[in-house]
Amino acid sequence: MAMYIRVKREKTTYFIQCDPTEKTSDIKQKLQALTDQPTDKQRLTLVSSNEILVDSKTLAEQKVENDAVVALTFRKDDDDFEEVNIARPEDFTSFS
Amino acid sequence: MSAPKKRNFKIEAFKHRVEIDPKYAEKTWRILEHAIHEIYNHNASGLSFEELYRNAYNMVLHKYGEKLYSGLVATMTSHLKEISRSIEAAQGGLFLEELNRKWEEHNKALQMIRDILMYMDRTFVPINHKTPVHELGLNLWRDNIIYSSKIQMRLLDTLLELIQRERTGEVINRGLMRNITKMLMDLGSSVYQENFEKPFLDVSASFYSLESQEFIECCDCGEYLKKAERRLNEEIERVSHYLDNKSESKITLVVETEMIANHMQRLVHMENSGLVNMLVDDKYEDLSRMYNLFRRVPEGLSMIREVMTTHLRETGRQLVTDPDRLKDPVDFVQHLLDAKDKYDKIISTAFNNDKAFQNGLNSSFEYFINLNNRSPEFISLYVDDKLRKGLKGFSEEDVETVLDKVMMLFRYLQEKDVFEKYYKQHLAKRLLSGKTISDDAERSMIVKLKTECGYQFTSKLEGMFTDMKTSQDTMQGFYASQSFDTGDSPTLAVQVLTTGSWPTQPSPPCNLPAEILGVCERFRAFYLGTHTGRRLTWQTNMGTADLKATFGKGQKHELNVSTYQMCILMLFNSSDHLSYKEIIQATNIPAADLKRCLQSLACVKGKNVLRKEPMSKDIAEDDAFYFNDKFTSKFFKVKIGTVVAQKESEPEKQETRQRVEEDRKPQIEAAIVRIMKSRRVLDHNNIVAEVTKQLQARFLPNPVVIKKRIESLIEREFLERDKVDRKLYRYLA
Amino acid sequence: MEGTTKKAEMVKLISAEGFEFVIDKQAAMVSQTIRNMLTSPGGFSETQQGQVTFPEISTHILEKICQYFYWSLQFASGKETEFHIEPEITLDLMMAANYLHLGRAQSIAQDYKLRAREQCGFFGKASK
Repeated sequence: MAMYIRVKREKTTYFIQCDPTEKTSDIKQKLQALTDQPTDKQRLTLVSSNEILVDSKTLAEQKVENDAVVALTFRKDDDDFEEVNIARPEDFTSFS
Repeated sequence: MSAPKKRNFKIEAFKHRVEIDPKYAEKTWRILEHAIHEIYNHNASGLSFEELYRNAYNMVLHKYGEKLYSGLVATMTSHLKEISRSIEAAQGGLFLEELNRKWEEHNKALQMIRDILMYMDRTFVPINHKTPVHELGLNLWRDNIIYSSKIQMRLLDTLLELIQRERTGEVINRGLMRNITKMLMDLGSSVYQENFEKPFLDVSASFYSLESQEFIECCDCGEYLKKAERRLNEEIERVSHYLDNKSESKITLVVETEMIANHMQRLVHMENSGLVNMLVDDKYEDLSRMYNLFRRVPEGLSMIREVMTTHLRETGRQLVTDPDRLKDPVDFVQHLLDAKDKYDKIISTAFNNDKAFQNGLNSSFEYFINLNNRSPEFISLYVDDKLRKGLKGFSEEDVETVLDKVMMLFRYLQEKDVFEKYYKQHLAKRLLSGKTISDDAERSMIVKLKTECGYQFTSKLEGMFTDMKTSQDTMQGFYASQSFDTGDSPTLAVQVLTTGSWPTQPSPPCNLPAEILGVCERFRAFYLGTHTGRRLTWQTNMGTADLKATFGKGQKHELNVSTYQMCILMLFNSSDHLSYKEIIQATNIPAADLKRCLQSLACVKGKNVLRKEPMSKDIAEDDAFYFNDKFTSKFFKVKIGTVVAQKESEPEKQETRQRVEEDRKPQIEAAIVRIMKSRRVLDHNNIVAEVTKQLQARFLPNPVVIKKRIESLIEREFLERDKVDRKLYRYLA
Repeated sequence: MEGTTKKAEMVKLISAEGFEFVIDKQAAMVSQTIRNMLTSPGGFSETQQGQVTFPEISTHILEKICQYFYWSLQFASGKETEFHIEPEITLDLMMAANYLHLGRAQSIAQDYKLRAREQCGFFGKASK
């Protein structure tokens, strides 16, 4: 296994095994299998730089490294993408 | 997210929410107990592994491990008791199936329970020296099910009865049997052994003891072995199908002991069908079966070997000492070869080419071949026969095979030097009479002898071949040099033999007829002309002549006779009758030879070109001989042999023996000197032993002869006796 | 392993706060406890649903544990990097590692804890 990235949306984190030479579109393919959302309805954003990842570029080209956190957003019905939304556990503390 | 927090390091005990609820342990255990019930009742689907694992984990963490562990023992035990009752209640044939089904269920439940209690297994169990869950589950099964008074004996009886039924030909459920025996093994090999294997072996022993008794009374040896083999294979197969692997050696030992070891003696010696009968009748399959079965028991193979060699020695001894056999040496050797072939084949096809058996075969042959001191002579005669005519039409390969076999017999001979002596004589006769069928075969035999006996022996034989070739060239040269017309003078063919290479005994030449003498003298002049300094002596006791003869009514014949016979017959050109005395005077042939010649000329029907008075079988000194006018023969060419046995007569044999003994003396002396030269000092017994060892490849020296040679060497001052210890000899440089 | 992201080969781990981590089964089975949950016979609910809920493990720790699983796979295939643990979570992580039967993670956490103590001067000097 070369590396993995953490793809986050709301309360869910997907650990995706991948290779630096893979393109953003390859990652979206893998996410499609897990989220049932077609690749063209996905957007990936590198959280550390807030850059939107481009389908045709490789992960290495876009400085996506091992253990990187990438935000996943879906296209809404009005064709716009959602705001990046990663839930924080502090907001859900289960004990008093 | 990871903003530095205040570093107030309290060493917290485990930070899990501490349960203060006093009923916490009881409540948690109830959850787990319920789950165990559900698992045994096949209701586990839907239970949360994580929840059960976490509950067990927390119980152990909060020091309720003991409660968890003992609760498990109690719960599992109660389930097993219930299971035990259901197995006990199973009717007849369903018993084993119910046991098997419950066993499989218990195993599955046990695995699930072990998995959810894994944390206890990891921490609580080792610290408190408890039995791990899986092993605990097996032990509880063993104690509550297998050792249950209503199951233990019933289980054993059922298993043994099924095996007994299978032995009598019924088909049983082998898969079920395998599961049950595997269960016993899983519970520990001692459980398998005590509750199954030992009684199984005991029952098998009495079964096979009885059955073998029955078989041996009504079967012949071959049939018995077949049955034993089948039983053995059945047991091996049984183990492979449904018993533990380690049982194989134990059950086969039972069959081997009961069916083979206990009856070995009786089987081997069984009347009309035992080992000897099998050997005599070449029953390869039966022999092979006996070999393979007997090799499994101690002393089994040595018993077969013993009986085989004893039989072989006895038949061999009978063969070589049978006076009838001695009449025909070729037949005698052929019988030896046939016997060797027969046993070679038995050992290779039935006895796995076993080295010990081959050794037994060899030592037996060595033993009986040397019981007859004429064996060396006969073997040489056999070769002689083969090389004269016996191998005519054989391929080169077949010739080699025959010669190789002869060499094998040769190796058994203790007196190889005697064979060599005869071989030389027989070869000389073959060469001089031009009777050898194949030069290649002759040379091949020489090569074989060279390998066995060394260069020294064969160099003389090779010299004989060279003489033959040179003589041919010499004769061509002789006739080419004779410018005059040879006309009516007889045609001469001379074979010049180098003294020493040939085994001939020099004998004074007889008087040759004038016609022959003339041409002989011309050859002598020619030969000595080209080879100055040599001496030629005519060996008139050898050689042959072809004579043209015309009898009373004008019938013409060509007579093929020996040189001596020619000299005699030529006398009758000038007179019609001659007395014995006149003949011996005229020819100067040694009396013994003359008598034999006359006998063959006058006393053999169909070849009697002379007539003798009085008519009798033997030649007397006052007999008279007449030219036989009335001689007739349906053949134009008449070969008149000399009355000479192919096989040596008793006096000749004695003579050869004496020459062999003479030849041995220098060899023994040379051996003694070689040994003493390196050892310097040695006592008598050791010299005898070492000399025997050095020479045994050629012959077995007689200790008395060795002693005489030592004495002779002392006389000639090669050795001396020690002054103090008279048994000690010293080498004198 | 790349490109084989299929649902059947993934498992969902759910934290105390209801956060979900979708990871490879292969990675999850670094934990002997999770391995048992997913493979034990008899149809426990975890095996059937392909997900495990840990009501006593916080999101933060569970995420760290998942990172540890992947680090462990990388480490096993020869990639020698260090697994970093923030001091303030060491104790919780040790607890979770114990629960999940992660031998190496437990000892790494133990290591960090010792170092933290030394830094705080709990021991006069490095004890061996």
